[in-house]
Amino acid sequence: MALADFWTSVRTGFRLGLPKCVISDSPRMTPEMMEEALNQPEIWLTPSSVKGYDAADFVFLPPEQVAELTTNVEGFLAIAKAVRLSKSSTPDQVNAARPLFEKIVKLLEFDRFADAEAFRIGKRIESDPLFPREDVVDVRYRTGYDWQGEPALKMMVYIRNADEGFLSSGMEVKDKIFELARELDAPYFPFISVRSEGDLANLPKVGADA
Amino acid sequence: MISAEKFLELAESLIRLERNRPRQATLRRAISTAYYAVFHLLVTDYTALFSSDPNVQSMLGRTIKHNDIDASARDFNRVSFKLPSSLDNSGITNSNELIAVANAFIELQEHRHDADYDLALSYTRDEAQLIVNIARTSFTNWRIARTTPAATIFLACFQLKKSWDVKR
Repeated sequence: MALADFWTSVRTGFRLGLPKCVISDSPRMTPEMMEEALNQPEIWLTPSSVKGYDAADFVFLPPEQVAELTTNVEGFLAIAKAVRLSKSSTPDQVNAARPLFEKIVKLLEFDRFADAEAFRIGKRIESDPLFPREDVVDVRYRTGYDWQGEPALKMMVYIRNADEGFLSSGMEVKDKIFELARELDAPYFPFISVRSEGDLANLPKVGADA
Repeated sequence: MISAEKFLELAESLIRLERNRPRQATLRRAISTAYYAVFHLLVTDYTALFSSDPNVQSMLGRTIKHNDIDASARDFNRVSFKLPSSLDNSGITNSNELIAVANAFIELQEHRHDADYDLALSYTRDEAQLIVNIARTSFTNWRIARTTPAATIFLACFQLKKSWDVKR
């Protein structure tokens, strides 16, 4: 549950800094969007923005990524606590905190993972040596329920334009990812849609869906 | 009685219907029809457990609900599958083909639901074609699996699962 708490904290902190026309889990998150979000009045610079962090919740990530996340969270938290004590932030504090929070947001990849469970499962799928990374350009994950009310993991997989054609390559990639998802023994049934990398360009631009 | 294969043929022809830019409505009908092809494939063999008379089969087929098959598919979609408990020591084993059919049914049912009801979604022809191909592969797998004891129990479980475990 702590992972979900931390996820919500960071997302809320990030959204607080966003202009109204942009949402943090837009299909694309560009560096410009990140900069614009964190240039807003510093209401994101609060300990609440990283509340619930526990490195033990991230055992599914490579150790170096967990260490990076921990370092950034601790650094951010130290500044946020100082700001809370003084009840206002200095430009130096904002400038020091921004890259730390930016790194945290980047590590959580809100544009690819719609929720904390999707992040946890998606990262486990992608860390498997059998994940077909040569054929896959991008995957978007979200958990929820299927029409029967059963837990579901929905994945949109974008594959490279393969020489042998979309269908054979797409079916092969789908089957491999399906098996990896099933082997995790998570309660979610994997539902996979496959598109070619050219379709990534058709994702709505940031803010278009707000 | 119309065969399930005709639904699959229709789904495949819908995918190719518009040469340049396929309409979303056409792709959605193709996906939905592909699901119904597999649905009717399984229902036909279910009804054949009871009668060889096409008229009787047709009447029996109307008793099957979509979630009856879904529940059975979720029980049979792993190597360590979930038989009615009174059959636990029956020695019946699952096959890769039946597992594939069970998983494909669950997938296709969700795709069909999305295609029919979620108007916010947008499909590409390739994506829809791939979904129809899942149905085509299911026909191939079912032809291999259908004569196995596990497949017969899978079909029977559409409606009889609870009856097996009633204490008498």
